[in-house]
Amino acid sequence: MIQVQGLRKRYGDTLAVDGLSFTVRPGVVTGFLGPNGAGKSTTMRLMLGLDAGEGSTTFGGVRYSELGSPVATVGSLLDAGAVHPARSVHHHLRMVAAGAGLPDRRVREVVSLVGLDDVRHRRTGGLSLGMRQRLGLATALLGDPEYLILDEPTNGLDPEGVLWMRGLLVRLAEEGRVVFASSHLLSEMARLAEDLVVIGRGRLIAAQPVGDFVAAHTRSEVVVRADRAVELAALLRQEGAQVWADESDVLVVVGVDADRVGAVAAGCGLAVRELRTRRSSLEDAFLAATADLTQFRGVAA
Amino acid sequence: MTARSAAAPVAVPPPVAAAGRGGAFGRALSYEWVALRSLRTPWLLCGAAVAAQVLVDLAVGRDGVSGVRQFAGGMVGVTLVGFALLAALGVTVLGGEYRHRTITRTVLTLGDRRGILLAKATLTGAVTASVAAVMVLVNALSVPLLGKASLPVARVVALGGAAVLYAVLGALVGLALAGLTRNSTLSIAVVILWPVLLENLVVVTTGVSQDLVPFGAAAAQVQAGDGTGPQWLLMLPLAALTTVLLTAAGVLFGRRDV
Repeated sequence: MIQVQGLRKRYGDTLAVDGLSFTVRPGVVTGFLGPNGAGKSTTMRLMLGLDAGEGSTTFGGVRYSELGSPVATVGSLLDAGAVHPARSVHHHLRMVAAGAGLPDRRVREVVSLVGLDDVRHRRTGGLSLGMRQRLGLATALLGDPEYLILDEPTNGLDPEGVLWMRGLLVRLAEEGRVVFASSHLLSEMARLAEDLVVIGRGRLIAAQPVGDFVAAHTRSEVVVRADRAVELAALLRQEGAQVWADESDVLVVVGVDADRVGAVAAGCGLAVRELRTRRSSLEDAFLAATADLTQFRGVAA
Repeated sequence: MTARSAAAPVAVPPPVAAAGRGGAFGRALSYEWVALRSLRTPWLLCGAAVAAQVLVDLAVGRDGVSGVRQFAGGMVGVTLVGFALLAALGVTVLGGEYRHRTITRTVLTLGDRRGILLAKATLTGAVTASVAAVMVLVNALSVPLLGKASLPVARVVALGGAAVLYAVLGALVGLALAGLTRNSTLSIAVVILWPVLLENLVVVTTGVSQDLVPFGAAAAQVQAGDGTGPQWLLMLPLAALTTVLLTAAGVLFGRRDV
């Protein structure tokens, strides 16, 4: 379990992270979401003790700085580009392995695991972003850690790579590890994560399972297409539902489920040609939750 | 050539050894050693320093000069060219980490920041001392081979020891400056210009004794070819400067974001 308590970081007058507290449980992938500039990367750096700030983060009750062998406990991928361009893939990993007291054999294992066998002697400056991402993951996995902190792990990967990364992270979580990954790809996170930590402008918005987050920040709507829509709308309002017309014969209903809408229509002999529940996505929920906390927003085209 | 993912999830066997094999400082030294020898730049700097010593020994005047004076004259290879190259090596050891943002990985891997700086300083000192010792040996061999003169071993050891110490302290100053400025180019410029420009300006403008400026006083001891030999106390200003800069770099490294 990762326990984050009261993280706070200030850059001059800007409060980048403002009293963040949450826990990350083992066995599932926990997604870390927030708009651009929300403080996700800063939070991860604070968690790992790279930046000076207030608050504490413990990994199984121990701070990162107090871990005897950090690489064997916490694997991290923060910036895939932070490698010396003149050093080879093998030597980069060998260097980290030497610092962690790990054997060369482990370097070969993780190189194979991330699919970089063919380029292991290539300098990292010659790697594509996707390959560097894989190298970053190999570095994170080198010590077979119980905790994984990954900042945008799918960044730069091709679709096959994204699929592979998703499968790997889910498998690592299923092995009982704690996997904490940020992403700006909401559709990806919807498939990957079971839990979410959502922040905006450095403040915690939500820390809960994906389903609960979506339920809390969106609503399900029933869409019904009927012949006498006005009459059906009046009947549904009597049932306590909120109803509005989407098109002349299409109603959007909130407050009662599809079964009840069908029953009301049938009870009055109204012909229904379409009846479905429209559920909101994680993207809808995220946009709703962070609507007031997005710092950088483009002008609509 | 492209990266290929392992097709099917394959269980990753845990590493057998020893996440904690070796002490923390030993692991930090191992990390720094692999980091240093896996790049071309350190090899080039060290090789260039030795090659420069050979060139200096070929160029130094030898007619009618005693062996000790020939040897002391050849020490300009260490105090001038070797100093600059080995100080650049010291800068590279830490400044290169900031330049390529690898300092983050180093801190994440090794944890203890004081231990990291100590390991870097130890390795830099050891490598610099080794290279400087080779330069001294080359210079010493040149006296009987090129100058046809004898050279008392005790004087070689004394002057050579001063040269090695000078080179080591210069490299450590470079390392410390890189830690303070987090900028390789600026650090190299400062560490090279300090002895040749800054100290001379201070001496000329303030009238302060040459014996009190760190690099000037120490370099003079390396080239003391008269009967007195090096006065070790005059190495103290440079040693003190190195200690102060390294301590400041260590304090800042411990507090700064990486």
